[in-house]
Amino acid sequence: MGLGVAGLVGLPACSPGRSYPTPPMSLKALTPKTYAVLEAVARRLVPAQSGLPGAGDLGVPTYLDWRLASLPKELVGDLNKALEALEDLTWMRLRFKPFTEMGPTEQDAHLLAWQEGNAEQRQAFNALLRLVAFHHHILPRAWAPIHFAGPWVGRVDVGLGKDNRGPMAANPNPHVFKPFPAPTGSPT
Amino acid sequence: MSAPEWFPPAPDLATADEVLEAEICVIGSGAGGAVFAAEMAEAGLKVVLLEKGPYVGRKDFNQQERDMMPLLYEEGGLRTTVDGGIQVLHGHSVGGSTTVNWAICFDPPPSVLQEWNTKHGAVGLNVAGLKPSVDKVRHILNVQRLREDELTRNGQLFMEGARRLGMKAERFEHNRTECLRSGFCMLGCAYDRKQTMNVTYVPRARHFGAQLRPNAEVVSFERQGAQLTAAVAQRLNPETGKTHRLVVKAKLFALAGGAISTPALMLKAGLATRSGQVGKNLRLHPTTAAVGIFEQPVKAAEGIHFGAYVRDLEPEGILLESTFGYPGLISSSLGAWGNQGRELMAKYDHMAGAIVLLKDQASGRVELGAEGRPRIHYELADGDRLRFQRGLRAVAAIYFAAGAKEVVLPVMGGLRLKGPGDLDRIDQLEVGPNRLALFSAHQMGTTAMGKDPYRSVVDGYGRCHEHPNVWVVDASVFPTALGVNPQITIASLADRSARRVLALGQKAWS
Repeated sequence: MGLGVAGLVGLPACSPGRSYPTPPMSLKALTPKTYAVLEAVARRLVPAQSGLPGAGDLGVPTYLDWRLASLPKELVGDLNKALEALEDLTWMRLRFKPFTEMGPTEQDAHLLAWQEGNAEQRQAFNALLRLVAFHHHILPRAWAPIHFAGPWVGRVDVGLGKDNRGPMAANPNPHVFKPFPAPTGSPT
Repeated sequence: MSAPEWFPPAPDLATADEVLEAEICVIGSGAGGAVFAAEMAEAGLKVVLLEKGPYVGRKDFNQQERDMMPLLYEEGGLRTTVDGGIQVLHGHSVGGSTTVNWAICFDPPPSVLQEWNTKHGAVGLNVAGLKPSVDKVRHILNVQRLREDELTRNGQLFMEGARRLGMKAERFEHNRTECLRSGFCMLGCAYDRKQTMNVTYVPRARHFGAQLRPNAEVVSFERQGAQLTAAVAQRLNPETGKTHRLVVKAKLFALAGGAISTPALMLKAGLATRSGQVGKNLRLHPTTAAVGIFEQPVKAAEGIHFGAYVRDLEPEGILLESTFGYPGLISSSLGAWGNQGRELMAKYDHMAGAIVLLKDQASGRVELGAEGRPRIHYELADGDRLRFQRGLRAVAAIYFAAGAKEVVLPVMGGLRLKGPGDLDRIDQLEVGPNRLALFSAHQMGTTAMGKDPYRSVVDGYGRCHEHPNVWVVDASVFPTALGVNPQITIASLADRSARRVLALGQKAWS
């Protein structure tokens, strides 16, 4: 990740001074505003469908806030700027309300505009899509609908216990500790 | 009483500042550093092996992307080029990228070695000269060709499709021993069957007396003129969160952090500044992927993911490899979102996957950014864009020949081809940053070998032109892209460097 949103920073917001709800937990990397935007974005990128939970339902924004806290500050700063720009600069696409106040169809259209937009918008969109899609599908609750059986560890016993914590007494590779008759002298 | 584990116990965590004295200090424990450390230790030299990342044993590999990506990959696998266009994956634990790689083994291509020797001044480097090192590395890593019965449906479909088109598909050679085929290689082998550095050369180095210090990030060097005298590291104790200072005084320093971290460390420390080449000449083997969707379940996530490859386009620098990924990786690479993304992921177990890997013509550079973090600048060459189109067209044709109902390309928004009649659409693709999903698992070239100290950083054996007791033993020394998965080449060159050091004796550091 690495979002080139510098060119978008400092432009006027379409809804300055708007307040955002306090998230259900204390934020580590995002602000209340960027958390709200990320939650709205996540609900469109991986929406609930046919009774299956979407990224918003699985708590992906909360999880992402926790994950982002361990990443370099430069990355987190860029992501916050990108989310602010997505929320505030909707007027650049002739939409005159913040992203979080749009309905689903309008939000999809705005995201599509960023997907096909200038280099900075495409970069921000791509980063958001990667983050949300990845962090949704790594959650075990997302696996059943896609028929992914999940890890062997905890499920399959290969002779080391289901938790795989039993001792492995023999080295499967017989060559590791044995001397090898290497040629002597300087290589050519 | 339970039987002891077969490999040396996990190293102690740092609890206090420490000063170590050694003859050899190796920085980085991946395919190059581990081999170099083991060779030095086996020869009876006193070795300290430093690794920035943690020590992770098989019991810690829980096969979940959620937990393993942050633990085993640099920046949790989220590092990209500055323009966001290429995801740059490299390992961040003892064993380096070998801990998370696909176990694919290719010998160094003779034509590339020839090119490095004749065009780039990598003195003495040739197939015959490197063969003893290649043989030893292959033996210790237990390299063997994948058996036919080990090929998954994913690999079978790729080979069938290629054969129907008259292409030559082959099963990979891998470094595995008695593989259990759980299919979680990229998240660390939980059963010690993938013969990565953390279960081969690192234990071997320790067996011969090397001291391993994980969680040790080198931040500076002490110097006397051009000679380094000590490496200064910050060593994190992950349990207490405290950082301790570690100083390693040594006669020879081998840099092996990989082609991103090694130049970043050299830039930070002001090493080899005369050449002006540190961090330049970066090659990434830029890679994209395609997914074929079949009527019947493929279950590509089960079993060995990396089955077969096609070299027909290799003369053009294009390698096609059948692979697959876990849900997080696949979903974040498809480019599809919203209802279309969900619809595609619902077909996850009907997907077959392959990648297009380029021997890149373009080169980028590594610079230092905020907090000393490497910033990776890279722009595809026009020829590379065309070769991506050609490679994707070949993969899509392979899948249609194998009976795919649909082929999905990782274009932003998702591009779905419904049959061979759609192949021409690939020629219209815009291949650029954040248009087509691209990633790099092989970084090379940022302290390249050569004769001329003003146009290269190290000589043909990896010895730094400007600092006689500094050797670079990782993929940074490649003068060009390799064109194939590089672990055997990196390890063999490190073995060759080690033999050179042993032959030179004290002259190797003075």
